[in-house]
Amino acid sequence: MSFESYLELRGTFIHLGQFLHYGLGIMGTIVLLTTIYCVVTWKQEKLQYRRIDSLLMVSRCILVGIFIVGFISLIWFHVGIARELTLVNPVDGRVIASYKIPLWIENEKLFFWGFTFGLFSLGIHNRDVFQTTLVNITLALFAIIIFLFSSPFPDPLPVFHKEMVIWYTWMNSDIALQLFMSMYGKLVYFYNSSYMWLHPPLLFISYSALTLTLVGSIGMLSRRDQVDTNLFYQFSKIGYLFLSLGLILGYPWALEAWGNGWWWDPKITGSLITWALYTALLHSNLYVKRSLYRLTGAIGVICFISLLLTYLLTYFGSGVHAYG
Amino acid sequence: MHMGDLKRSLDFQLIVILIVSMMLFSAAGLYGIYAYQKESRENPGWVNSPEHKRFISKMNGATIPAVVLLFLSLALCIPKRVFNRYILKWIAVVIGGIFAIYTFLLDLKVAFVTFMVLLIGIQTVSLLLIIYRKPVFYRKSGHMVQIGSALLHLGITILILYLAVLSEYSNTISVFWIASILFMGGSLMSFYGK
Repeated sequence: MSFESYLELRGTFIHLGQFLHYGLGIMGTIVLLTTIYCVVTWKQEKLQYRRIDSLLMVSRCILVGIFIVGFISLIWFHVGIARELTLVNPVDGRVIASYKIPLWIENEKLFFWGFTFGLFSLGIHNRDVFQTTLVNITLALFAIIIFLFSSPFPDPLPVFHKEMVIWYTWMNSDIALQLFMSMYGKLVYFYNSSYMWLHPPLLFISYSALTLTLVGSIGMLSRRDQVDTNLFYQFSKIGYLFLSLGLILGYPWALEAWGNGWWWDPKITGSLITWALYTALLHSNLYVKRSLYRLTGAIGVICFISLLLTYLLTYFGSGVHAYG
Repeated sequence: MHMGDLKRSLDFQLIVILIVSMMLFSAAGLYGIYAYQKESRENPGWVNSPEHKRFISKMNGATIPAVVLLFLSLALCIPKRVFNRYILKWIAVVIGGIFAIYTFLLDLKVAFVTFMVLLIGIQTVSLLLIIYRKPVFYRKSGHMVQIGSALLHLGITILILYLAVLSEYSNTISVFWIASILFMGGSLMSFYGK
């Protein structure tokens, strides 16, 4: 167990991660272009329907495969961190705990969202070119955005890494105790908190299901086909259940970390808005077959905008959930 | 059912009220996010200042229209399972009257708690009637689905009561967990009961 071993592990991960990083970028672009090609040729009736369908599915499966390999490599990296890094009390040299870091923090959040979306997308194969196209484009956009802005493989856990470098540089100095106190708080209430393994992943799984609800909503706004309402309802139910459970499990964590109170924190407010809008959506869905077809589709799109805003608040907002 | 009949139906109107209520809450919340961001950027120490307390009460006030509409839909939606449409009108008048009298004579908090306890009572009766297969008014068919719907509405009513009032008191977290289990279990049964 040592900082040097951690640095070696990180170096290996970055080295191998280059393949995954570029794999996501290149394969995302290929899937996007293939999908556009399929749509164009389908419109011009140059390719057979069955061939287009197979091409779309194969390209999606390859991209999901890269996401799966990426997730497995993240597990390997995090297990390595848990083995190599511990927080030691500078006064008596006692080991407090090892860092059991979850797989959905810092720049891994978007990757985890894309990964779970990819897994859900494997279950959608209804031979409807419009829907398959939308799912493929969304997955490809996930991969390209991760490649361009998130980079969990070439720059793994940048904030955590910075904290470790500072700690190992100053752990034998006069400020060690002061540093230790702040690191101890973050270890207990954040990195090693049991809620960390429940609250965020449940929300990201719900985000993935609700992204597929968006695909159904766009379909409902563009045409009138049962296949869209089926996808929409199937995934809005899954998304709503995970969203509700994720928010419920966030509450006792908030009590533990900040105490009782309501102060209109942007991220929490955004999450409640998203939940309220999806509640409205599920109620509106009761009349989807009669008068509220288009309205339900429109609310679905508004819901997703709210979800996206809530997600982005972590990066661009202030408040207790702000990152970095 | 014709479009005109549909729009006149109570179920439909309640759903529209709920959607409007959620939209109003979202609009107020969106403004809250914007204001919080703006103030935090312009004045970094704002969160610990008296202005922040004023902001909280201003924002709480901004959600009142949404909350009133939500309570209106809950006050009509929950008893509608048990009482027929004619009696329901009178129930609404009585609940509204009790709420108004309590608010003026006592205070809003007591009125709110009485109102919520009344709703929880009616919802529990409705749940028992469904469980024992007594006649209730439901749009959805299926015994499990109806039990699920009743459970989740009971759960959300208790959850609102807990978050608005009971969370201030110590040792009430079990109420939160019971409400959450009712809500989640009810949602599962309502979605996948068929």
